[in-house]
Amino acid sequence: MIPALVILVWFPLVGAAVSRLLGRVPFFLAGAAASGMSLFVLMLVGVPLGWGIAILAICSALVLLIRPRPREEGYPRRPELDVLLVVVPVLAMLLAVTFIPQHDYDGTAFWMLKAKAIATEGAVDGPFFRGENTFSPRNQYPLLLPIDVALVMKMSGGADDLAVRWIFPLILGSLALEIRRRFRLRHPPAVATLCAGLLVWTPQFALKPEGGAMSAYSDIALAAFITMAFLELVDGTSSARFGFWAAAMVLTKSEGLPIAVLLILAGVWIFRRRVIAAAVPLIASAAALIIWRSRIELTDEGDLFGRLVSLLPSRFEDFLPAVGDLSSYALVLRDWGAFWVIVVGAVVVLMVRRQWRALILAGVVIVGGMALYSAVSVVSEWDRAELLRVTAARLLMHLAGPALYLIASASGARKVDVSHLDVDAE
Amino acid sequence: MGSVVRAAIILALVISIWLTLPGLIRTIRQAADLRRLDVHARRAHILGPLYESIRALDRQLPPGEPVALIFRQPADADLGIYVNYYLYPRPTKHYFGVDAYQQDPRRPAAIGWIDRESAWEVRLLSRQQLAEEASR
Repeated sequence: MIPALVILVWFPLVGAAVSRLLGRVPFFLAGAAASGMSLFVLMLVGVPLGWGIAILAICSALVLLIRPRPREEGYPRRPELDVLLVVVPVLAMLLAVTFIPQHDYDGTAFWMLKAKAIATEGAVDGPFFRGENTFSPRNQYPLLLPIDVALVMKMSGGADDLAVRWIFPLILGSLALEIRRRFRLRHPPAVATLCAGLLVWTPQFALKPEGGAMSAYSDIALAAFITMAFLELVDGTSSARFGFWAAAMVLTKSEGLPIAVLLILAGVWIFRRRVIAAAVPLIASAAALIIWRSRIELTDEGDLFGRLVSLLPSRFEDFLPAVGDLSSYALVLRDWGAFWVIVVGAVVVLMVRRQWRALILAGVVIVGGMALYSAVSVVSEWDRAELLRVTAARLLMHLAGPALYLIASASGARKVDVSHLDVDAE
Repeated sequence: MGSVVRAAIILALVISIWLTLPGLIRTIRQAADLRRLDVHARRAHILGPLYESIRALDRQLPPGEPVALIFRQPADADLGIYVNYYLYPRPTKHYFGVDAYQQDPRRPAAIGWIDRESAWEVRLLSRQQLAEEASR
C-alpha cells in the first residue's frame, strides 16, 4: 500500500504549495498538475526523475513554510453528509483498482507503459522514447499523467502498476468535490451536490473501460483541467490560476492544446490585458512539448494540423455530418444516461432567460471542442465512423465540466459575493 | 423554472445511478474475489493464459535479452500490446509477419510468436519452429 500512501500525501502537499502561490486550488488536482508539469520540464533539461522529485519536494516545503495560508471561503468547516454521493462511488472505484489488475487497452498500450519507462529510465527522452529498446505506440503523447504515475512508482520503489492507479479515481473524486464547492458559491447547494454526483455516477466516468476512472486513460485528467480552467474563466478573478490549468491541459493530452487556445481566446474577453499572465505558462508548456517531441521518435500520429489545413476545405461537406455523428454518441444511454439531454434542456432554459454570458463561455468550449473533434475526424487517416466509435464518448468527457456549469446555471443562482476572491492586480 | 431544472437533474442522476450501480457492484465483487490471490494470480485471472505465457517466456530468457514479437495477423498486435507491457523493461521489437522479421538485419534472436487464432498466448519459438509456422 506504499504507492497509495504516496498518492494520498504527495499530491495534496504539492497542491497545497500551489495554493500558497496562486490562491485556493483543489489540492489533489493542483498537485497532480504541478508535479507532472514541473517534472516534465526538469527532465527535459536533463534532471533525472529522482532528483526532480527531490527538488520539487524541497520547493514545495519551502513554499509551505514561507508563504501564508490563503483564506478559505467556500470550504465547509465540517464534513457534510451530501459528499457521500461523491465519496461512496469513488471509494468503490479505489477498492476495485486495488485488486483488479491493469488491463484496459490504451492504459496498458500507451499511458502506463510510458509511466513504467519514465520510472525505469528516470527520463522523458531516454532510450524508450527514442525508440531504441521497446515498441512504444503513440510515443509522442503528452506525459503529465505518466510522469505522475512514474513518480509514485519511483517513490514507492518499483516500476509496477500495483496501487498507482488510485490516482485515476482520486482525480475524478477531486474534480467532483471541487465542482460541488465552486457551484455552491453561485448556485443552490443542492444543485451543486447533484451536479457533482451526476459527474461521478455517469457510466462513462464511473465504469467504462475506455476512459473511465478505473482505467488508466488521461481523459478524466484532461476533463478535470479543462473544468478548472473554465471555472477560472467564469470567475474571472485569477488569470494566473487560469494559465496554470491551461498549461496542464497542454501537457496532458494532445487535445489539450487546441482547447486551451479556445479558452485563452475567451479569456481575452474576461481578463482583458490580464490574459497575458495566462498565455505565458500556456506558451511555455507548448514550447516544452515541441522541444521534447523534437528529441524523440515520432511514431504513429501524422501531421494532424497539416491535414486540417490542407484537407478540411476540400472535405468540408463531411463536417456537419461528422458533428451529427459525434453528437449522436452523447445520446447513448448506457454511456451517458440523460446527462447530455439535461444539458440541451439547460441551454434552452438559459436562452429563454437570456443568460448569454453562461451560454457564450460554455459554448466556446463545448461547441468549439465538438467542432474541433469533428474536423479532426473528417481529415483523419482513419475511417470516420470507426474513429468516432472508439473515441467519441471519451472526447465528450472533456466537455463535461462546462456542460455541468450550464446545468447549474439553468437551475438558478444565488447572490454572489466575489469580493473575498483574490483578484489579479490590474 | 429552477425547480423543474432541479427535478430534471435529480432524474438524470437517478438514471445514471441505475445504469452504473449494477456494474459497480459487479466490479467490487470481482475485486473482493481477487483480493485473496497474489498479484500474478490476479493478472492471470484477468488476462487468462496470455499472462502465464508472458511469464513463462520471460523466465526462459536471460534478463535483458531482446525479444522479437511476431504477429501472424495484424489483429494479433492487440495481444502484443499486453505482452509488450508485461515484458517491460525487456526490450521488444514488433513484426507483422514472418517475412518482416526475416528481412530485418537487426532482428532479435529470441522469438515470441503470437497467433491468437490458435492460442491466446505468446510462444517462445526457435528459428526452425518459426519456419514451420511460416510454411503453414
